Amino acid sequence: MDDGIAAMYLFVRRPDGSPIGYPMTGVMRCGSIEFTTYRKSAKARYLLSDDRVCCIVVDADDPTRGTAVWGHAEPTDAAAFADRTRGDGPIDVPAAVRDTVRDRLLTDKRMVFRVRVDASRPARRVGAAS
Amino acid sequence: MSRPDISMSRGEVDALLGRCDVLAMGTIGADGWPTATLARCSYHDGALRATVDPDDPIAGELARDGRVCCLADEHESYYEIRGVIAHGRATVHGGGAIDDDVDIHVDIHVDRVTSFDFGRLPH
Repeated sequence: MDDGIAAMYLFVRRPDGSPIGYPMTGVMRCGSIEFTTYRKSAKARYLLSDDRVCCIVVDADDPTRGTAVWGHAEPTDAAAFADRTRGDGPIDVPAAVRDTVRDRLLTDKRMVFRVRVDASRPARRVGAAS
Repeated sequence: MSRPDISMSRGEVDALLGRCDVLAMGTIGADGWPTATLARCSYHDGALRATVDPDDPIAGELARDGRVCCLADEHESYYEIRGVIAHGRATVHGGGAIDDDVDIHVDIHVDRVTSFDFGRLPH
């Protein structure tokens, strides 16, 4: 995975043992993935209860191709994350939205998780439609 | 201040699933870890079906425990971000036993859906 901002799908385990997934924007950095969510969100609760995650990182040039990674998610520094989200991503986020996210990070309403990647599966492309 | 309801109507959910041809599908493996893949999909008359490679380990996991979560989304621009999170049970068909090259089909009985449409956010 190259450093930068990418679309991804985050899958976690709920307390009842069932899966739940979320489309996300992730920041790839030095072999880890960082993302933000509201501190009071169900997603944050699930991750603090069970830190095991699987992420499908979508290829920027081919949305039918994705790399699966597995790792443990841990809370990390929110202020530093706010500075890392500047740059080209899969979607052009309006400046007002960026400012709101930054404010929520700095006021502790949002938190940041870092996934240290323990395992990965090479990128694969879905088959052609039958 | 309460957060705005940005969920889609049933018709909008059906329309998004109908025009989506790839989704992300996840389950929990026997070891307790989440696992996921991208899969070709189709949606007709409320029936959601995914197709995965015969060598994709998620097929075996879904055959063992059919609880599945599927994500379909689209995002031409920020305020056009729309998505569906479908929870359900998977039934796995085909592959492996006769021909290792045969795709595996997964029928998903959807129990519950959540959705979002960023176009409904105040802006």
